[in-house]
Amino acid sequence: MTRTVLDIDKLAVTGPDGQALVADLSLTVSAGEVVGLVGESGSGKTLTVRAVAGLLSDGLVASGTIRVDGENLAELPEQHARAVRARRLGMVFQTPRAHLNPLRTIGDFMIEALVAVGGEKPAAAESRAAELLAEVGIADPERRLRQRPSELSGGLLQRVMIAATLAMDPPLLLADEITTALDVTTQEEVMAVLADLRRSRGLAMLFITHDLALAGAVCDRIAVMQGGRIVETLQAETMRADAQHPYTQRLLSATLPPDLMQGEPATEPVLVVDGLRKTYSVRSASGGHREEFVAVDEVGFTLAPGGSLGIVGESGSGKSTTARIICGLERADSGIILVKGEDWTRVPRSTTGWRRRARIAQMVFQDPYQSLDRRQTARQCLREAISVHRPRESRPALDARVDELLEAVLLTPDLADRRPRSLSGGQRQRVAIARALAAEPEILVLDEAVSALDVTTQVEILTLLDRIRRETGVALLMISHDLSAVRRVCDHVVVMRGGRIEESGPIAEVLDRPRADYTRLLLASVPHEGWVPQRRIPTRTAALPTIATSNLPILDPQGER
Amino acid sequence: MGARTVRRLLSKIGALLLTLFLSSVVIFSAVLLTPGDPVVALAGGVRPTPEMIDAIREQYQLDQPVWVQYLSWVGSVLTGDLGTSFVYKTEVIDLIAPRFGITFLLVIYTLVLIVVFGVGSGILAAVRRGRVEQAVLVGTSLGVAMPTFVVAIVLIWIFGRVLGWFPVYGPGEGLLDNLYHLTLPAVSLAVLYIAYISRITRGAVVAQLSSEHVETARVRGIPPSRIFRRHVFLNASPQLLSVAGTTIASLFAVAAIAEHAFGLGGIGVLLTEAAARKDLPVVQTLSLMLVALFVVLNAMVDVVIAIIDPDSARPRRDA
Repeated sequence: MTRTVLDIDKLAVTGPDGQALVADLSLTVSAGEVVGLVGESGSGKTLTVRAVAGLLSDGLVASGTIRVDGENLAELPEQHARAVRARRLGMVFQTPRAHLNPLRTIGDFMIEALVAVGGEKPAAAESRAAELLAEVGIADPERRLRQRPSELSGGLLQRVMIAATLAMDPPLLLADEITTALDVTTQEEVMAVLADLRRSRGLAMLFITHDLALAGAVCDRIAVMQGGRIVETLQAETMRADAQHPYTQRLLSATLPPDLMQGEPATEPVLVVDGLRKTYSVRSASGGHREEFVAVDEVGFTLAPGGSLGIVGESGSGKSTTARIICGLERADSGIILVKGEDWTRVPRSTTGWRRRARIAQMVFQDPYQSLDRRQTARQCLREAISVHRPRESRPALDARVDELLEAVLLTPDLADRRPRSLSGGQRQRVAIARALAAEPEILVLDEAVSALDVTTQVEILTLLDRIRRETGVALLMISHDLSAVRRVCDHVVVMRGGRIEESGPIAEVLDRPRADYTRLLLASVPHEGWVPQRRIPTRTAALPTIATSNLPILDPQGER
Repeated sequence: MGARTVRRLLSKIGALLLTLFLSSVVIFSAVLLTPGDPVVALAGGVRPTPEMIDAIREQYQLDQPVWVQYLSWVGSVLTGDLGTSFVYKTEVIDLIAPRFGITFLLVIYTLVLIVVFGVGSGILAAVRRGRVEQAVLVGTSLGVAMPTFVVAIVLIWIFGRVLGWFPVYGPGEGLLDNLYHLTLPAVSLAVLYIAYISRITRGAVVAQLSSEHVETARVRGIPPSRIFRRHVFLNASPQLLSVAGTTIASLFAVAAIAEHAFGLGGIGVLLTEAAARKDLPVVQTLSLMLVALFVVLNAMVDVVIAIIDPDSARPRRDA
């Protein structure tokens, strides 16, 4: 019988008004075992790990027992409990960039726990830190130690976080949606690192995710949570056959099905992009002189009125820069952008110029919580968006239009007077979409607009976008790293890598019969049954990540190391 | 130091010089904007004697074009010739020099109070939620609402009249006695700023305390005091520093209120009296000094912030 590293017994978390957020939750994780905790947002899975990590916010009360390596955290005095947590468990979060102090170097971050908790000498701690970075596959660790978080990519930062948790040799890792914010290839790399650590260190893991396919691929057992309770626990290998609970079956079926669209009849395209190029001057990896970094290189495509085009690629592929150039948030070095025959290549200087553009193209961003004003209610936000374009509209007419927009994005009127804080992620994104629609645009640019949402909410939003497109005739330009999301709404797709277009065409042709090796690699990185995460691109970490992706040779799609 | 750092530094210095130039133009044109004969205005409200008129004409070169007047004024200021006060009939430099010390001491004293009590109470309110926080919030609302002059009168009454603990008039003799005499003036000046800085500190610290990177440090078992020093306070400091520059500079200007109330006779009193009597050479010199102080302090703050947070100085770049 193997040792139990985490034993949660009858855990309950209650809110300030006595509402049960997590109830009667019992769960064990044995040494070396990976247990998945799966559910939609609000199911209580994150609260559960936060209770284990001692991170519940003020007002939330936990009861029941949590034993880490046999020590009951609830019975220990606070300082002792902190010491147990510091040495016995490591936690990795969804957004590594926010979880690292932006003002301190990676080295400071790595060394801090070794010195403050482990009592090591700073010099010894530094060489240990370099070893840990090397263990998670980070090349040139000494240089990384001197850099700040802003100089590293999200995938690298997530590895830094993982390396840092290993400092005290903990038997247990808590992983809270650690790959949700990463693109599929980076996700695969991070998962491969974890698989290696599991093998080499016998590391046990509590793996929180909303992605059942991912959980199925990396976990031994999976606990499915709904409304604060575990509804069933399954063996990962046989979960598809064993799933009894309707909620689990719903989660299983929420993996995005393909929904193909007919090609649009030939008309004058609403958007023509041709020969787009954008370079930045960056400090070279070796320091000293400046280098040109080509972010977007000879990119061209067209978007039909009412059509939908997806631009896919991993971080650093130039897809976001392309979108930002189209929306006038960046200037291209060369190339043409024609919108309805009008030249949009130059960034407008006047407010009227911006407003005129805004009537045609609107953008929806990844994080609605940041793109919405947290002091405005949904109604105020929409009212403001409408009056920008219809300054002389009367109050009743404004309100009528607000109701129309809310209805278009399927938000009930009672949600209209809430502020972003009290809306769910999906509801916030609906408000952001409604705000974009307020201008009655002809093009809607979606920059990773569903990436931060859980799968069921993703499906809802994607279905909604598809419906809005059919009903209003707005053309969609969708920037995403997620092939399944693009497949769901787009009729055409452009695959980008290192600033260049690898392949483009009708969605079915590109995704079902990919010609480019890179497209095949992207398709293979999507978690599916029998998926084994692999470190496909070991050289990715060699230089500044953004540069590294631009001059990589095409790799063997079999994923040889 | 890379070429880019040098370029950034040069553009910073350029902006600094431009600000100084523009403000000197504004200060200089105060003479031209005064209604009536500039000679009378420059004489500071007294009926000028023929010798004075000649002296003024010569000093300001009033028969020359405006830009020549400006250049010669700037030239004489830069060479240390600050002109002669027509009210006091002495060199401006001799008016300012003996008064500067006491004002400087008052500002430093006030600043120490602000840092200790403003930053201290702000941190306390952020860390100890509940009663302490409520007390600080109520106290600071009161502090922000109370005019410095009223505070001064109340302090004089309580500590001077009723308790008799502190002197209420004059600067005293010698450094220790100076400090003793400056206590009430410094407190009366500091009250408003303590309240202001306390609120800013509390906000900045609360934002950092609830930030995700502090959460990470907590899970890693870093001791709370260390988290506070290395993650909370350090990250909150750029926000505090950015108000520090303007605070110090404005203290020199509002020092006049305390100087009047406690009969200290520093440069604040000199400035307000010179302004009331239209003693333009004195007003111009003091205004220029304040502007220069303001600009230089803010530039220094920018440099310190850039050292703490190099990304703040770098133009944003999207990958």
